[in-house]
Amino acid sequence: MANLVNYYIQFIKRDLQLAVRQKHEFVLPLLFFVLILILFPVTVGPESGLLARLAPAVGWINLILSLLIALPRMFSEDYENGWLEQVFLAAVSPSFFILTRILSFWLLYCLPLVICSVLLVPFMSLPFDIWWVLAQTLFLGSLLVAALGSVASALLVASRKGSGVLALLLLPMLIPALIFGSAVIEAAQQSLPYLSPMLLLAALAVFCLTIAPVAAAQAIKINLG
Amino acid sequence: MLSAKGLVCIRNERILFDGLTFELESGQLMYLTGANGAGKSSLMRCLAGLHQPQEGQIRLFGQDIKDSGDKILFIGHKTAINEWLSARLNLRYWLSLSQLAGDEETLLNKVGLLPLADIPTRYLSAGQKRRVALLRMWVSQAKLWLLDEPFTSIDVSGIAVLQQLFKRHTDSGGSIIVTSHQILPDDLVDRRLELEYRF
Repeated sequence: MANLVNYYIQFIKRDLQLAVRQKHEFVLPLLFFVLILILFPVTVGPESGLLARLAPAVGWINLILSLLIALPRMFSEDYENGWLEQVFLAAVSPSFFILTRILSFWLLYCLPLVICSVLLVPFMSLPFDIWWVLAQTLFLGSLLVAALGSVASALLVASRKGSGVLALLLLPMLIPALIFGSAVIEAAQQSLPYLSPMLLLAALAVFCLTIAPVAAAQAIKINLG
Repeated sequence: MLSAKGLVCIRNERILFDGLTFELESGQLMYLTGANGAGKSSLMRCLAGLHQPQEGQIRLFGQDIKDSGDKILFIGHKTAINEWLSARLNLRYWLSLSQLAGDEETLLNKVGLLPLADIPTRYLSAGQKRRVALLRMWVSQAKLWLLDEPFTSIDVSGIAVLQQLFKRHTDSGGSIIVTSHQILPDDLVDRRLELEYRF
């Protein structure tokens, strides 16, 4: 167990060091997210009621689109330089490596976007208490995107034209998350209890985090062969 | 130690090898040769368990090769070096991945890279990057080494050092399969296997 914890810490550290050295790749989804948040009110107009109604949808769609920029790179560099081959020859299960990668991806790309979604409050006139609920759904939803995205990214790791196909693979799988996410927000906006859809969203995220590493490891193994 | 029986490998509808059978005992070095495209790298990947042959069986110490990844050191064309990280960090993370311990300073000094240990490997020459990858041979505890073109971009003195390492490994009971277009000294090679190019 101590070995696994050390392994986990080492590879989170590796991914963080790589992100620091490749800042241009790291900040791209974040810049995209902020730009869309700025552009949206400019195109829709200043009507605060309409903006506030649209804000949760903008937050969710913007998060997914921003992550689609980063997801194709989840394994591509390690595939190209041969690191993934070494992962599959190592004593530790490749699924554990994939789980580590999903969590580091979430820390590096998803968490900053969830935090940046607070910009919906000034730009889209979203009440702060509703943003707080939205942020919780984005928190869980982004875990789900990272987990399911790892499978899509692993399937397409050997393909150089992967990003378009990745979106086509991933977006339909996110429909349940979007349904539960919007159910939470709708309930919160009407001051109704929203715990049930939130728990269902959390259950979906846990389920995906459990099966995605195994599925992604199999997909990478097929690509390595 | 290693036995391969009736291996068949087909790539893009071309049969690379068909019914390939051989054995390798402890302490032996097998020199694998063949023209470009003959299937040397594919065979190496099959032996590492990274590629599943269409037919045949590979066993290492009586165990299926798929369950023996940690008993194999595989250094292929891809060096597993991340060019954004330094030689030191690349080595450190490979040691973590393999759950091995080694003194980074001593190891880097062995291949003459200690002064360049902390600069990103993208600033190193091809030969220096290859040396970083080959550092794994000094620390690996794997019994079987699969080395695909290990001498690529390595200078004469480096080749001599590698050959000494091969000798040390086989003397200690390990086995090596090496592909190379470089001629290996006869006293180093125990077995030879030539793959023919098939159309």
